[in-house]
Amino acid sequence: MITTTLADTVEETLGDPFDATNPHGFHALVDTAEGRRPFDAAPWHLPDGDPESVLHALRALHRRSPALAPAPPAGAPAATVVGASVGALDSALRITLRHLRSRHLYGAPASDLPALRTLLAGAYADLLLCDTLTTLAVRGTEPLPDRPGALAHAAEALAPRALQGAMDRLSVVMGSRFYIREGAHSSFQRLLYETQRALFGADRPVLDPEPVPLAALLAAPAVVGSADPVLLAAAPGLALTGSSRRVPQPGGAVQERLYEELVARYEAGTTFDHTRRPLPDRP
Amino acid sequence: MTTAALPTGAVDGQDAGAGAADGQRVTDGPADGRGPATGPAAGQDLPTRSVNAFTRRLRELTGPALPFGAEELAALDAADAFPTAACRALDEAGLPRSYVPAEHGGDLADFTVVLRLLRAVSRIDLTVAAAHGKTYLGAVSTWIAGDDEAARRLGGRIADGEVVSCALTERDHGSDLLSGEVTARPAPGGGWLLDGEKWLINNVTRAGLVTVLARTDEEGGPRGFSLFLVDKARLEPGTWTSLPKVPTYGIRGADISGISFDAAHLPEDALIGAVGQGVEIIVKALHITRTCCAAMSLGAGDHALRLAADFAATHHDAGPGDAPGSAHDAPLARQPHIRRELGEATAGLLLAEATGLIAVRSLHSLTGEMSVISAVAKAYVPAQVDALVARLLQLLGPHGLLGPGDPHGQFAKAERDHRIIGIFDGSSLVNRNALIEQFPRIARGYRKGRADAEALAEAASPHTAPRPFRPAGLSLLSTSGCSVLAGLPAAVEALRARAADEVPARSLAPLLSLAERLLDATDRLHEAMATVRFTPRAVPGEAFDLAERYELCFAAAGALHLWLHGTTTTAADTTWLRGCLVKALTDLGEPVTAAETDVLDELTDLLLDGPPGTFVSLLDHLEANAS
Repeated sequence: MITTTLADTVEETLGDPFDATNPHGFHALVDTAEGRRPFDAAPWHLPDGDPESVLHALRALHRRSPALAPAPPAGAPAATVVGASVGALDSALRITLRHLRSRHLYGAPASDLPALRTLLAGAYADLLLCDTLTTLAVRGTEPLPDRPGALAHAAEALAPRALQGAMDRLSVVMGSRFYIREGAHSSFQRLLYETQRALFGADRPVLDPEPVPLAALLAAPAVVGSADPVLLAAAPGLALTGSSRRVPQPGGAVQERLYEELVARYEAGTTFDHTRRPLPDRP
Repeated sequence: MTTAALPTGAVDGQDAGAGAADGQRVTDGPADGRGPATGPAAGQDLPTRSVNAFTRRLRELTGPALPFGAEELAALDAADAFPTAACRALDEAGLPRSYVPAEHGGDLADFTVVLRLLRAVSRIDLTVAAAHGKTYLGAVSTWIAGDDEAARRLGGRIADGEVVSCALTERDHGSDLLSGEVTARPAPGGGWLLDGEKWLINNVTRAGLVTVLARTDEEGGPRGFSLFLVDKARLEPGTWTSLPKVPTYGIRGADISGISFDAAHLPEDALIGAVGQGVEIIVKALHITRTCCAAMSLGAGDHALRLAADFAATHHDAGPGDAPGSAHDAPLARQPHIRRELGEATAGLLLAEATGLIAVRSLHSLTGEMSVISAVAKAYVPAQVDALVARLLQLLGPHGLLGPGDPHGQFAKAERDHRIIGIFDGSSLVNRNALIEQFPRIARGYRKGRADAEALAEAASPHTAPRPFRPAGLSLLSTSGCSVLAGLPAAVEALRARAADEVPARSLAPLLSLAERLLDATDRLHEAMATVRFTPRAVPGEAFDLAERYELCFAAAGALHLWLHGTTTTAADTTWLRGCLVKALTDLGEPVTAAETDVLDELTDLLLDGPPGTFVSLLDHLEANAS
């Protein structure tokens, strides 16, 4: 049973981030970051609860602003901040999809271009991968009993790179709109910047360079029972366990399935992670 | 201030240096300008000495309260303020003359020199480079399609410091130029009336002259647009408006804005080329400018890698409990995985440099293939630099590189600034798409071995003067494919012959083995490229993976060509080339042994062992008269 009550409370309190009149929304947050207005809304609080509930509540905050989100409580599992960053990737994906659906290129919606769909599907698969790794790590699951700590290692060393890589690829999809610090899509650049610092800032743990046994982890029953292994196997972030820096994107039927699922969740107004929490968003 | 730093200007004998032995640390135009370059090419050719003189001039301007002072540039960035003093200093140093072809009164006779000059500026600040270099993009359409008199006049104005911009994109259409809504219609009594808005344009507010792409046929289409050189001073007041500066993620001080026209009257002679030729001219112009963008990526990559290396060499990760002399009480750069990452980043940057060098020189000798080569250069070089900067950030950020370990926030700024290079002038996606559309011709040319060996040799000899650039040789599509890769089998054969003749024996064997694997991977890649089928607008996502692999093969082949033409058979240093091939093969997913990858650590030594403020560059490893 996934506990999302705390996260739902955060969502209800902070409201629709796409609402331009919302003092907790993307417009206001960009204006605050740019010094165009003070942050005049009530400060954000992280409710108390069990580690997994706190993770999802923190994710609800990070999907608005990693910089304004409070730190996890003392003693929270190390993967909590990384797991919270899944929220920022959720927003980045939502903003990108919103942009592509409203933009016409070469005579049709940009979202119809197969290459862009492929990149969106890849970012979504990375989100599912990082959600799975960090959620199980926060839960304290040990999928490989003979390799204790393997999952936590994957969540803390591989997931940050996978999340940032997905954000970076989405920035290319956004094109020049990513680079602008005002207007409808300007939250993208702010989320990217803040996530980068949340994951790799001077106060963050150094990434452990030891290899991550990712194939074994993804084949373990505890992981297979939590996420569709076919979708996880398509995540571009898996390439980070190898030495090649090329990041193959999903193709064929799995890519189509990922894209359809992504759009379905976008249109249904639910999170892209496995909780499928309802969101107040009206992009 | 004089123009002594210009390519045709001063010769400074202090740059003359001895040849480098195998593995010796060499530098390209030291950013600090304090010491002579020591590579085999240093001081041997006029462009190198001129570039080094320019670099020294930049060094003189780099210090507290000077135009290129780190603190000053950081403050301007924080305030979104234009680097006026730095751009003025570049004007006074004569850099604008490098944007004007020699036949039109300027100094531009070799694009290699332009690459090196803009790279030198980008090593200090990418905002300045992007702001200043934009004048070339603004002018290039006139160079390739304007009449001689118009080109001569424009050359004179640029030499006098005029800023020229180029307005292609519009708010709702981005890279889709054929959807452009700015119109030019014949004016009663002659000339043209210009209407509409161009947006997200570099330098368009500062510029006195703007090249504008406008629809001249209501139906649009490839022949429905024309180019105009708009002289703002000649427009009626009230017929045009500058749009507000757009705040950007990086290059924050740059003038990124827009311009709106309202029945602005243009004289007849504002037209560049013929009516309806606008798209064709601009596509050809982009073959040049997309290629030259490599300069800014290489400079930003140099800067970021230097900052990261200096940080890793001087910072420890010893915590409160670590005693002096403990394993943690050592510079980060001595930790094996950090050492390896620095070496890999160096190899990546050398591959990018090989691509950039071959590409700019191909403008002269392989002009008809630029539709392929420019797409590769613009897709690969910025992406490679983005990737290596991201890896360094993720590796060293938690150690402090994103905070107190980065004085004036230079690394963070370089990281933010450089992201624009992969976006403007056609993104990596746009360029990969352009490459994929040429897959059938490229694959056919490769299968038939269509390589212009003489032109390729010239492209791969950066210390020799190239043949004059002929704009008429530009083509919308390469009919022959791509000589860089079609010439790979011959290059591997040449290496094989060298290996057979070498004394002592076997020293080239490891290199030959890597090159043969590259050739095998390239063969298989072209077979896969030949099977891709698609219709317009439906390029499959999988084809983009092939395009990325093509870029890697191109970069590695380019490195091999440069090595073959830039080294003699005796005492040839194979270190940097083995590093490049290992990196490319690894990224291609080809087998590479652990022993072979150790060469990346040797590249780290090249990076770390030199004096502070210097850079690793292929140019210093290539001999001027080797082949």
